[in-house]
Amino acid sequence: MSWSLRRKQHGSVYQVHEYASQLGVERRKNPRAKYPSQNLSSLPSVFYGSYSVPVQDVSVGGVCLLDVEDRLEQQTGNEVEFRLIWPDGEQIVRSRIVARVNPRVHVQFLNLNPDRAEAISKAIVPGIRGTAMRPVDHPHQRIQLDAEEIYTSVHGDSLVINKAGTIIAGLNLLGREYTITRHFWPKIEKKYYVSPLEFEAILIFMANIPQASERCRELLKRLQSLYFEGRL
Amino acid sequence: MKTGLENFRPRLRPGRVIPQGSRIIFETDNPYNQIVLPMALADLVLLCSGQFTVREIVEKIYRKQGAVPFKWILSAIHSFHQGGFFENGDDLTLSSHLDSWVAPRRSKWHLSWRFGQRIVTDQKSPVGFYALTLATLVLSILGLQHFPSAPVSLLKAWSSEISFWPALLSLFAFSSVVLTIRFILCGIQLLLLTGKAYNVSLRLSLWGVHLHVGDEANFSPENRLYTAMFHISQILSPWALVYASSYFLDQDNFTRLLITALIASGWELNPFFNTEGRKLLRHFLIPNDREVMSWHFEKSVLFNTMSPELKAQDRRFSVICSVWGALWLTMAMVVLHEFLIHFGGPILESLTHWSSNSWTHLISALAWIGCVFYVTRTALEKVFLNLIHPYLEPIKLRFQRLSREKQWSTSDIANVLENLPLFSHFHGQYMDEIIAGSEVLTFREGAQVVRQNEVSNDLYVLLEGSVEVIRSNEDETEEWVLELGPNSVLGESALADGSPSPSRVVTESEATLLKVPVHLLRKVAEEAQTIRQIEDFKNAILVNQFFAASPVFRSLNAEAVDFISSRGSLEYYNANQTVFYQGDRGDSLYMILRGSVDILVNGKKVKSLGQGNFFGEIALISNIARTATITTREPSVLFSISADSFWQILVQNMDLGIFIETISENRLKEDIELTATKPTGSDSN
Repeated sequence: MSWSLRRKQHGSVYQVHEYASQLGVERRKNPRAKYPSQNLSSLPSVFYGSYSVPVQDVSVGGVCLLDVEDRLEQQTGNEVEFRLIWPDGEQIVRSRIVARVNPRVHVQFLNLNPDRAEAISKAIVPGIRGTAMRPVDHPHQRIQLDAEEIYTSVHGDSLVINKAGTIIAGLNLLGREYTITRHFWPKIEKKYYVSPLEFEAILIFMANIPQASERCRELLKRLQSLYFEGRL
Repeated sequence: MKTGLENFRPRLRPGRVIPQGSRIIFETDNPYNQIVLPMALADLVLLCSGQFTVREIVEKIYRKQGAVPFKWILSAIHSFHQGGFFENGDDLTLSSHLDSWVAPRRSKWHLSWRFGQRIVTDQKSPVGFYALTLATLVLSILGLQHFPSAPVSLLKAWSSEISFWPALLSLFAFSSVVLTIRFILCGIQLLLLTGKAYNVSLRLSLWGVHLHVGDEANFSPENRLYTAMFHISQILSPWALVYASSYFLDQDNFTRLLITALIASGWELNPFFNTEGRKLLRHFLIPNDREVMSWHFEKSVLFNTMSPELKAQDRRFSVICSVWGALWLTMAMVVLHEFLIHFGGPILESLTHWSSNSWTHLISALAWIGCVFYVTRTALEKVFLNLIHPYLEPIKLRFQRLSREKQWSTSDIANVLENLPLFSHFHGQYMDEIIAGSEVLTFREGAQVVRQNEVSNDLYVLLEGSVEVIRSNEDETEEWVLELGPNSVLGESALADGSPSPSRVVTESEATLLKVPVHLLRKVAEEAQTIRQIEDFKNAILVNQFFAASPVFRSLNAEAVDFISSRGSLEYYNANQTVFYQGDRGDSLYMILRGSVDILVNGKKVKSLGQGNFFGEIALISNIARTATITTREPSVLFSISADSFWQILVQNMDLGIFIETISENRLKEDIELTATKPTGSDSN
C-alpha cells in the first residue's frame, strides 16, 4: 500500500481527453476557428494584392474570407495568390477558390509553409476548444446559481460570467484559470497579467463559443477593446 | 418506491452552486454540507430537480455537449447519495455487496441542537495539523500504558463501591467530557487541515451530552497519511486524555475515565457502524472510484468481464472487513462473558429474590441479553455469511445446474429462442415449427460440436454450458477465437456461406445444445418474411453471433440488439485496407464480425483486435477526433453503427456507457505506454 497522494475525488479534466491529449492525437484534421478580430499577431492577415480581406475563419487547410467589396476571383476552382502576413514575416500562398456563397469565399491553401501551418494549428486550438462550450441551463429555483451565466465543455474548459463585482468573469482554458475584470487585462491564477499571446488565445476562444448570450458577446467586446487599448 | 439508478429521479436538497475555478461547489443549508465537482457537471446538478430520471438527464447532457462523462456522473450521484444530498435518496436501490461495509449507517439515537453551521478559516496549516495529531498520538500511546489487564474486574471493583444509578451517571458525565474533548480536537484538526468545520452542534445521546463536530469537511484532504492520522487520532484520543489526567485525577475518577476511554475507543473500532475504524479501513482498502464502480456495477454482467482483479479487490475488502468484524465481535463476546462471570451470580440471585434493587439488576440483565443478541446476529449476518459467500456460490450453482437437469420442454426452448435476436422475429406457428424440427443434444466436456473445414447443415443454439471457438492456422498453430455461453448461436457462418467452417467449436463443460437444421430455418424465415432490416439471412446470423459472443454486448437486451442491428450496416474490407485515419472525425463505432485489425498510433502499431471485439468508441464517447489509424490484417467484415444510434443505446444502458468509457480510458492508457516504450522499426534495427 503506497502513501502516495490520494487521487482527487473528482478530477476536473475528463480522463479520456487527458489521455488523448497525452498521446497528442485529440486534434481533428483541419478544424477551423473564427477570427475574433483582424489584427491579431497569432493569426495571419490576408491580403489579395493590396486589399486586406476580412477573414471569417481559418484552418490549416484554408480560410473563409468575407469578400464584402466583391474584389476577389469570382470563378470557383481557379487558383489565386494571397499574401499571408504575420508580425514576423509573410508568405505568398497559392490557393484555390473552392466555394463562394456571397460574401463568403472558401479558399484552400495549396502551398502553405509547414511551419506557418503549425503556427496556425497552434493558434486555433483555443478556438476549437471554444466551439465545444455550451451554456448551462438553470431550469429551477430550488438550487441557486452564484453566477449570471456558466458555459462548460466536456474538455474541462469553462466560462463563468459573474452577477456583479470587480471580477466580471472567470475563465478556465486549457487547465489555466483566468480572472477577467472590467478595466484591466485578464490575470492568470489571480496574480499575473496575461501576455498578449495569451490574451489573443482568450479572444479566439471566446469568439468561437456557440450559442453565446448577449452578456457573453458584450464580454468579448469588452476584452477586444481592452486588448487593443493595451491597457494595464 | 425503490428504483435502480437509471430510473431514479434525483432531487437535490435546496442549496446553491458556487463556481470556483474549474470546479463548482454545491452546498446545502441544513444540515450544512458541501460537495466539490468538476465544472462540467454543473448541468447535472441543476437538472437534479426530481423532474427527470438519471437516464433523461444523461440524454439531455448528450444532446447538449455531444458527449457524456458517464463515470463522473455516476461518481457524483454516488457522492450525493452517500453525503445525504438527495431528498429522495432512499428511493435509490444500491446493488453492491459492499453496501454493508461502505454505505454509512448513521446513528439516529440522539437529539441535536445545531448552533454552528460552519466555521471557516483562511489560516489552514497542514503542519499545525501534523504537529497536533502527532502529539495526540504520542500522548495516546503513553495513555495506553494504563490499559487495564482485566477491564471487567476493574468495573466490578469500582461498581462494588458505588450504587447502580450514581455509577451510570458518573460514566455518562465522563463520557460527555471525553467526547466533547474528542470533538474539539476533531474541529481543530479539520480547521487546520481543510480550513472548514461543519455542523457544530450540542448532542444528547446514550453516550452523553457533548459537543459534536461533523466530519463532512473531511472530503478535501487528498493526502493518505493525513487522513489516516486523523482517523487514528480520533480513535485513540480518549487515551491521550487518560495520560494527561493521570497526573491530577484521583484513583476513583481515574478508574471511571479508564472505563470510559475503553468503551469509547472500543466502539470506534466497531466496523459495523459509521465509526472512525471503518472509515480508516475503507480509506486504506478501497479507492473512491473503485467503490463507485462496485456500487453500481456489482450485478452487471459487464462487471465480471471488466477485470477479475477488480472483483478480487472488492472481495479482499469484504473479507478484511469481515475478519476485523469477527475480531471485534470476539472481543465483545469476551467482555460479555466476563461480565456474566462477574455479575451473573448477583443479578440472578437478585432477580430470584425480588427487592427494590432488583430493578437495576433487571435492566442490567436486559442490556446484557440485548448485547448478546446484537453480537450474535451481527456475527451471523455480517461476518459468517460474508466469509462463506464465495464457498456457497459454487454449491448454489451446482444445485441450480442439478435442478435444471431436466427435459427441455417446448416452452423452455421457446423462451430461450425468443430472447435471441435471430429468432425473436419468429412467433407462434413459426417458432413451433422450428422447435418441432430441432433436436436437443447433450455433449460431454471437450466434445467437438463443429469441426473446422467441414460443411455442416445444422445450426446450434447453446442452451446450457459453454463452448470455445478455436481456429487452426496453416502453420499448424492454434488460435483461440472466443468463448460462448448459454443462449449463443454457433456453427452458423459455415451454414450461411454454404462453405466449410473456418474454426472448430469445442465444449468447455458438459453442454446442452439445440440442433436446428438450416434448411428448416431458411424455409420458416421465407414463410415468416422476417429479417428485413439486414440485407440477408447470413448477415443476420453474423451480427447475431457477434452480440451473442461479445462479452460487452452480450448483456444488452433483445430490443437493444434489434435496435443496433437495424441501424448498423455491414462493411467488407480486404486485407491491409484502412478503415479510418488518426485525426479523422469519428462518426461511427465498428464491431469486428469476422477478421482482425491493426491499431496504429502516430504511425506505430500498438496492438491488434480480433473477431468479437470493437473499436472507434473513443472518438464517440469523448467527442474527439480518431485517436488511431485502423487497418485490416486480413479480409474482414465490420458492422458499423452511427454515432447517434450508439448514443441512443448508451443513454438507455448506462452500464454499457460506463463500461465503454472505462475501456476507452484503458485503451488510451495502454497506447500511451506502448508508444512511449515500444521501439520503432528503425530503432529496433
